[in-house]
Amino acid sequence: MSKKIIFESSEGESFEVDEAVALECQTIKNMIEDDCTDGGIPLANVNSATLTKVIDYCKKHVEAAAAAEANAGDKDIYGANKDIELKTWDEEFVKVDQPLLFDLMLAANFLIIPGLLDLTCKTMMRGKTVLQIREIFHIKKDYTDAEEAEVRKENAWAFE
Amino acid sequence: WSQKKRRRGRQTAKKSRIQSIPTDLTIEILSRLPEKSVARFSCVSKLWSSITSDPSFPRSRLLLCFQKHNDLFVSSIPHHNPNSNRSYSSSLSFDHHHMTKLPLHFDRYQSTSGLICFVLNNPIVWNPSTRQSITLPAIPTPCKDWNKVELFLGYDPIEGKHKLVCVPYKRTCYVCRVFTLGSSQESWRTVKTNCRHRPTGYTYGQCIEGVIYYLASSLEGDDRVVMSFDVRSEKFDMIRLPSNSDWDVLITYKGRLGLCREIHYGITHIRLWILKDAEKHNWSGQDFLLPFEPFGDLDAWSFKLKGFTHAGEFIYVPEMTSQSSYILLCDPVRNSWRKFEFKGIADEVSVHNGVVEEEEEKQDDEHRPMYALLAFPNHIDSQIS
Repeated sequence: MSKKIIFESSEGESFEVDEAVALECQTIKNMIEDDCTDGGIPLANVNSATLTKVIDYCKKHVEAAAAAEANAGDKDIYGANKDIELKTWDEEFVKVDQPLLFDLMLAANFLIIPGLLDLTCKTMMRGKTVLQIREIFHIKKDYTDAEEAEVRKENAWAFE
Repeated sequence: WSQKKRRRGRQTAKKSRIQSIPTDLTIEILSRLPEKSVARFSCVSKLWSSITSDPSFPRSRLLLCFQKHNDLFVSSIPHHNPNSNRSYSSSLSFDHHHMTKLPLHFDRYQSTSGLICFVLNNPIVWNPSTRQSITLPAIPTPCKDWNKVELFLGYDPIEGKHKLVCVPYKRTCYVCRVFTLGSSQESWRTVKTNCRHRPTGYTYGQCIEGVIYYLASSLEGDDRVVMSFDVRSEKFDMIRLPSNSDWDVLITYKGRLGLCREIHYGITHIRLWILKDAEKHNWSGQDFLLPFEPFGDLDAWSFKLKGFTHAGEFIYVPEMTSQSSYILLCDPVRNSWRKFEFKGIADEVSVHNGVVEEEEEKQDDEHRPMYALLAFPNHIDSQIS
């Protein structure tokens, strides 16, 4: 049986996962290599809801990679359908509310899961206006009206 | 109502955790977005603007390579210059590359997603960011002679793979050869062509979102067509042209394929056909004024349209250039153009060539060394080796 790793969410809940799944997180991979995962890994800044999703993501991607490995050979051409399936799965995966998406992005950044970070960042920003971004990220407008008009003028092509 | 209010209250509490987005994450987010989004979001705050204008932030630039013999002098300029003057000049700093395999002249090259492919006897794929280059293996018979083939570089953004596709030149294409970069592949794969055609060549292929486009003729009626090659599935498709004219320029225009004719003496505008729907063979035409006086400076006609930048400008570049030369950037929306004059090649060459160049410096303008100028709009740094 494969080795298990135990995560502990910010609420103190334990999650047991296969080592292969945990290895999807670069941060955890380093910890495993340094042999300091005994007794579980406390993730004080990742809540249970987010952690459940993160584990789902890692599991799916480990499975997909294993399946692709098994079908190697002419992977260049014939692996295409599998990848489309995974892409569709990813798209469904990020159909969550804004706060959870944000937490997923933070978790992906903290745990260093490149694929998930890429996915959440792009989903987060897609089709958003400057005003929406300020609202979502709670960023205060620090331009004066005149400054903002100027910077918008400089980047006018991007607002077409 | 009170319930509603409570829910709203909880949402605010949930959101407030979000408040402190770490700067490193902001950089991660912004560096993943397309150029246009980056420009738009630089209006979010001063911090975001400072992130995107930082020289280390990965934004696409116009890459300029000056070639003389085996030496390449490489420099780049940002696409969007807040300097709105019509004419400006700048000293460029150059990266000097000595590539022994380069011939005196080559007229075909193509760049896609950070890599540049020089079509030579033995083609070279070069990454100017990492300074690494790969010389490709020879194509198996019957395509031994590289001068009689067309070579295209494509990038599949889904798998993150570059592939080279080789088709015969002016001969019926039954099979093509494919080489996947970064794979363990040691020789070219032969792929049966699902759509027979005759590549007509000497136009640069364009790779847009995983599809390579190039000019060809159909076997029936010898009509000019655009061929598309899906880098991922390795399938060809034929796209009918808006009219059977001598098209010779393909560019990427706002993420779509643009088709037009080389500029020539006496014309005042170019008509650009933009591919709207490949399956329906649907193109839409748009006229753009040229940045030249119609019968003015004859030099102007040595300028070639090299593409359209993310910042919304057409780029016209002379094919050969001396030490004091310029490129033209033309904004079709504002109907204005800018002239970018570059300096510094002379100094750079004299540093590298020492004594030889001192003599040349004394020479008058007409005898200044000429460089082949290669321009790659929307070039991004890539660490792919």
